[in-house]
Amino acid sequence: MSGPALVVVEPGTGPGRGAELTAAARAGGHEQVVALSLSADPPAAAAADLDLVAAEPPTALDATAVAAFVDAAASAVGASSAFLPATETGTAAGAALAARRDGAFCEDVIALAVRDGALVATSGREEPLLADLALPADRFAVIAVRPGAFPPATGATAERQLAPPAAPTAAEAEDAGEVRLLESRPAAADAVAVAGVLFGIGRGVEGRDGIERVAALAAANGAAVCATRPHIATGWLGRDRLVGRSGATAAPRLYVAFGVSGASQHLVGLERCEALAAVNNDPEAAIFARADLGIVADLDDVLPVLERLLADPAS
Amino acid sequence: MGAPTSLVVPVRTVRAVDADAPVEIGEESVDRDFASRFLDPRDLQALALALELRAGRGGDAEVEAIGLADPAQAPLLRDVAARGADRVTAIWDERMRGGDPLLAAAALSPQIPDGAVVLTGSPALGGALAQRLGVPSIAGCLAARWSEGRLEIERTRCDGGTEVLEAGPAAVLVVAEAAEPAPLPEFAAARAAARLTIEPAAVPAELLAGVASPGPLALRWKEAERPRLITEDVEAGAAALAELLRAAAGAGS
Repeated sequence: MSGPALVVVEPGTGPGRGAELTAAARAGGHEQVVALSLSADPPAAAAADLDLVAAEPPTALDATAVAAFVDAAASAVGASSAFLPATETGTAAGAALAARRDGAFCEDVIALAVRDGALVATSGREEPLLADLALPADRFAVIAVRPGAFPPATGATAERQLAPPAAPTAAEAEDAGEVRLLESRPAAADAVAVAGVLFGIGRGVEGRDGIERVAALAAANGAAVCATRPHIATGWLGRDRLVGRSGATAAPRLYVAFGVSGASQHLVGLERCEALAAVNNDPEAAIFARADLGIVADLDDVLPVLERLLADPAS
Repeated sequence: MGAPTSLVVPVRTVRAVDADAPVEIGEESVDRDFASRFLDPRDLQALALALELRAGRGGDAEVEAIGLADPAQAPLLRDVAARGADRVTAIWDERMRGGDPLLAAAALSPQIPDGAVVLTGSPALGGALAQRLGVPSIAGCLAARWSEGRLEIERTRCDGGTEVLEAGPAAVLVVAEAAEPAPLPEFAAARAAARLTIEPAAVPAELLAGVASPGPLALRWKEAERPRLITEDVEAGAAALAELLRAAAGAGS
């Protein structure tokens, strides 16, 4: 590739995300990778052993402003492509960046390869159907990488500070309209994004009583609770409990799915979970294709046994 | 009294992707019509937010849905009218069949009135369209309301937190999956919408010229990962799960 890759690290995602994006960039044929942190606290990117662009990022994460910021950084380092996380803002900013540069864009990328000198990206946007897409070699390439799809890169490049990219000009900022941050609410202490053990509640868990029973089991075992779309829609669980394509992403050591069908919209938020167990009475449920442990049974039959075994292992 | 506020909702159709669907996928070609299609649920959630914003204007606003649909799919858009949109139109060009957001944004941007609020379920389309329109793009929107002529938007962040932003009024809002669900069609409106004729307008070729769209090489099913243990034995399964939970709790302590 003719220039370095610029990887864009969102705030609050930890150093691992930068290393994942670096792995993606290397899979895409880039030896030199430069990280751009969207946080005013750039050690997250520095900890990923990446070259670092020091700059003051936009305070309110408006994707148009982020694209202008990344564009300036890409020009400063002569980048030929940019890699962003395929989060909501990352994807929007990536597409805006591609439009801004007359470049090519590929979203929800789960694999990259170089074939005959051309970058080929595999998009999981319609998973389980995967699309291999060839990016035009003569255009700036913007890749939105699915979190967890690439194992974090190892091996450091020397950290160095580069000249800060120019901030968007005042005229550009005025054109785009001012976006002001009015209020910021941190994630809950037991947020799904940081949970070590996570219980997922799907459509197969019926009613408020069912949810409360699984939630009680989670609380007794130090697990956080997340849910799929139907239970968020009822209002029985808060929106911060949604995991999936437009909810939170999580990387628990163990994810236990109760009555979860396994739709890709939910599972994309769990790409980085280390082990997955599922309880579902439908043997054809897609969740079993991902499960390390699957129990094909009614929840009402499994929960009492599980509660007993956890309360008294000798039983 | 000025012109009513324009609330524009691009509406895409998506394939009903199902591993059981009777699909033949060629090595070098892409048949993008093999499966049935339906309206993107995220775009219908965007419609729900647009209807809320219209109500917040006391009726001094119009919701226009612009379908990105070929002539065969255009009848699906009647459902958008049934759910409350004031006007439903459609645009189409064969190059848009692959769903590339940059092409869609290029085709849509001339259709968006100055000062409009655009609401979409696609972060990629929202970002690219906002860039073309020169307006902010706010992703992960859960709710929005009017505040002294501007928009006050609650949205999710990637770290699990939420924040409230003020923007616009001209802006592109990308509605999160966790936002309110789409409204159900009214019976009378559905009957009226059933008589609608929606013919997609051709996109002028010059609008799409020069847009770099990744070329499709192949489609394939994702290979299922093999499970380690699947059991119908409740006692054995629960014992294995309890062991996993204890091990995970121990690893975290």
